[in-house]
Amino acid sequence: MFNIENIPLLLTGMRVTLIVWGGSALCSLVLGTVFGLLCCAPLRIPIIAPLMSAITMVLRGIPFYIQLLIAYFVIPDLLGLANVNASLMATLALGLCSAAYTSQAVVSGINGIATAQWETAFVLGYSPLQTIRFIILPQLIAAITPALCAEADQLIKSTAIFSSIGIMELTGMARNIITREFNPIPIYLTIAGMYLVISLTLNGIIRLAQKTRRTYAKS
Amino acid sequence: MLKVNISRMYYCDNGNAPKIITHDKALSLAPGQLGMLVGTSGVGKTTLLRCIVGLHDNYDGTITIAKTNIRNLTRQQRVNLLGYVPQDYPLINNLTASDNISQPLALTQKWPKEKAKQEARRLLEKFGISDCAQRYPNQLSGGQRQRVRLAMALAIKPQILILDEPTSALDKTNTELVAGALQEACQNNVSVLVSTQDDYLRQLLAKQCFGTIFNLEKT
Repeated sequence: MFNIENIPLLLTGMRVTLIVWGGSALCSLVLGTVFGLLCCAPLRIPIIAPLMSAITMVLRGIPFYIQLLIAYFVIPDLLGLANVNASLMATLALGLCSAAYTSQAVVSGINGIATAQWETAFVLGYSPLQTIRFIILPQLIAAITPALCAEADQLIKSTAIFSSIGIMELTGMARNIITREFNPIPIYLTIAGMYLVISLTLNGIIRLAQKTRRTYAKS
Repeated sequence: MLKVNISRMYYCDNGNAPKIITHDKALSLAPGQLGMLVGTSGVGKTTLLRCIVGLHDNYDGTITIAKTNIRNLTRQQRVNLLGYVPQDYPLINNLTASDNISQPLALTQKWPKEKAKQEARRLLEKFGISDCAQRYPNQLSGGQRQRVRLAMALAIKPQILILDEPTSALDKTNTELVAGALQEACQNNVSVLVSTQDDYLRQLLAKQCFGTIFNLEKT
């Protein structure tokens, strides 16, 4: 039987999940876009581009759980940092790992934009920054939004691993309650429902945004 | 005064060795003069025009505008001197027809936005496509896109106008409209260099502007 007094605790966990997800998503978007821009064919910068490619390859090749453990236990130890904030390290680790995938979407999105768009900007006298700001980014956003949304959806579920380093997000809070009450079935079913609600809400917002954008493009 | 003196021009496919596509070509255009570039397909007309506007740099020789080598022009100098209408008339995909004309004016020529929009409206009306002002490039026909692209090049009021097959998608009436616009440009002291396979446009230009013919055939 589900104990109704657990609801505030689970909602607190859900709040933490949403905060770390928001931080990771922002980190992923910013870093992924920068990595992608530096690696894409038209803007490829010698030395930096291969370095970025190597970093993204490493991040994609190591399981996120291992990256999380390295971020929380190994890096602070190597840097001599005491009392690091677990939520902050986990958010950065997830954001960085996700940025590796986001950058791939950005690279394929930019490579998919016709060369003629860059050439048109060149002929019209746009500076490189104006080209990116006014021509490339708007087209890139339209092209990679579905891939980014899928990544954002995946990030919510990845936050469940954070409980392994003691963060009291939704899964961590659930495990805490189960340890106390020895009643796993209703708790696990409840948090599964809560993850589903978050995911469905996010997908609903994305669909609405895409629909609005399409209407705008057709007007 | 545009002076082209090219000893060799190379074309390079991705990964393949550069191929020489033309030898020892020279042409010069005085202000207000109209030149027609002719030659069979593959002889290098488009590549030569791309060399002049700075999109292709793989050549031996010099291209000068008012005694300045185009390789030494700054971005602002280049855009003020050269207008280019490419063969496949690409437009900026994320902008409406009107914004395709007004945004470059506002960004690179620092025109106030309202004045740039007014100029866009004037040019669209001049080319008989004012009803297309709020349409995106994918909502325009080939002929409409071609006229928008010509309007974009004319809006900047360049000293030299380079056009690659500017009437390939136009009917007789619109070809006459384009020929009239080129004649008007010549009267305003703009040098015009047109590459065209369109006999009707050649006749019109020869009749109206006494255009000089530059044959690019292999010798």
